[in-house]
Amino acid sequence: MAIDTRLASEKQEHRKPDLALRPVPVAVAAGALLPNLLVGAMLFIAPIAIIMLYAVGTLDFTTLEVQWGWTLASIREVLQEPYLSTLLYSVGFSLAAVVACAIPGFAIAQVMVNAPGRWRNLLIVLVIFPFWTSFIVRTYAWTDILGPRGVIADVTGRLGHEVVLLGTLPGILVGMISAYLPMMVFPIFVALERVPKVLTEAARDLGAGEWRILRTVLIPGAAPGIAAGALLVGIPACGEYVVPEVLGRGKIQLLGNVIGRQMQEDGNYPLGAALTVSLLGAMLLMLAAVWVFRRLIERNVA
Amino acid sequence: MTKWIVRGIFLLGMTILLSPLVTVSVNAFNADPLLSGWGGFTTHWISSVVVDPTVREAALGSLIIAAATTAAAAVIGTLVVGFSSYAPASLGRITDGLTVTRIMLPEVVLAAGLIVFVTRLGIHFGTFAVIVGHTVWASAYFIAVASARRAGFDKTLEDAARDLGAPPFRVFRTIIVPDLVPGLVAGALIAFTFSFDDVVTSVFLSGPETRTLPLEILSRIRHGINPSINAIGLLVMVVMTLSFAAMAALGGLRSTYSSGRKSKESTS
Repeated sequence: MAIDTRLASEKQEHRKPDLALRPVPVAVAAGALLPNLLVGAMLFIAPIAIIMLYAVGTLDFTTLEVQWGWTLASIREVLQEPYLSTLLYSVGFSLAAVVACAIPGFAIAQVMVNAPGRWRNLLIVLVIFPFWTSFIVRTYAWTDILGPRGVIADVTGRLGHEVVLLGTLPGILVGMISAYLPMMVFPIFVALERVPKVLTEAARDLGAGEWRILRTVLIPGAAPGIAAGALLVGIPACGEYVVPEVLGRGKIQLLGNVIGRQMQEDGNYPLGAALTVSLLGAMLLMLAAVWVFRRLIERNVA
Repeated sequence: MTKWIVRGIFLLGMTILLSPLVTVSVNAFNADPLLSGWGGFTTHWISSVVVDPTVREAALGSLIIAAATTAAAAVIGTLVVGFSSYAPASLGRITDGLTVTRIMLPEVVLAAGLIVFVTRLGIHFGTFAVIVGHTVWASAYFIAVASARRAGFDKTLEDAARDLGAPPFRVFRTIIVPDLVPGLVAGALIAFTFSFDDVVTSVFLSGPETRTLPLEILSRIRHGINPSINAIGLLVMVVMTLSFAAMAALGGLRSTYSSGRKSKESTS
């Protein structure tokens, strides 16, 4: 009889293993998640919500107080010069950064995948290593390289026409590649690793040239990685502050820098807020573009 | 032909990736004050930076902010990583969503939001405001890194211990903690290094008095080329590299970066 009841209770335990084996009461576990949820709600969601409210509020220029309200004045100001071109420049710049990272990112990932074990590990370490150092220091280094006394100016000067990339958009783009390239390499590397080696061998056996293999096997295989990398590079690039601040030399200001200026020096919070909201809008457009790209890949595969 | 083009782009990419590190390391010892060429070896910049009171003050500021941020992120994050598997699924999903968005959102957006928020609450800009700002994203990085490590954990061990009659505390002490700790240390190291290296949140929330090493570097950059920046930069790089190397040694990075390799190993 006693054995029977034990068996019965064991059966019950097996039916609801999660509840029976739960070492921590649900309430305690939920309580443990609370500090993080509070930080998320009060210090993350609330500030972004306030930014959105400020974007439709107005600044009283006599008291410098922000009035709550509903006006599109700040948003309209963002959609006019000089801010409109800043916004368009920043979005275009972020797309350029994605493309500029995707091409070397693919090449590095491709070499990595084909490298024998030890070389592959060395390459992985070399690509991660810049992450182990300081972002601002890495960016600063380009002021030496791209500046009027740097290597690029020196070499191009000897060739006849000195090129100083410091303080230009291409110079900032080089800094962006340097800063964000690892974010592109690793997703593509993971995607390429999943492409079966037999596919490229079969294509080669059937007489396809290197270019054809690249176009029909490797690039489609890398596409999911490129999509993931596009997000990891494109989203931070939209609001990048440090790289244009350091390499723009005050001549070039992207959205992140303009937001910084409005928020800190000018103190025009509604305009700064409207600029921030436009940055969020640009980001959402980007997410949508990547989503469409992904759907296209899936359709091609199917 | 195509193969050689790919290799050429590969070399160009690696050069762009690694040349800043080489430049900083070399120029930190370059005696030419204009950095227009190699002017001979000197440790002058390093030694002058080490005794420079503004650099010392900035280093102290960085350390205080990074330590306080790490402590806050560790408390918040440890509770999440340790308990999320026992909490209701809906709360878990909200937690995951908040973690991902905090990492993905451009830092400028959060910093702009916090600048308005902090003003509204009447908190002064300064060290405390910077710590609060850093904690928002540092806790998310902590959770992401520490739970990536936990995800590789074999849950049957926990169940087996319980089936063999181990009381909850014993399961916690002998199974859960040893599994959790390396991830927590890795999470703390990433929170520390990201806070130590941060520019954007610090620029927005620091006010006139608070200094950190990245802010000191930024203000020197704005004043023009200055060899001392390379020296400070080298010191920052050494601190960060050491803490990342410690993290790699603990195995926290392996689970985050080479999950592809790991799955391959387990099949072979």
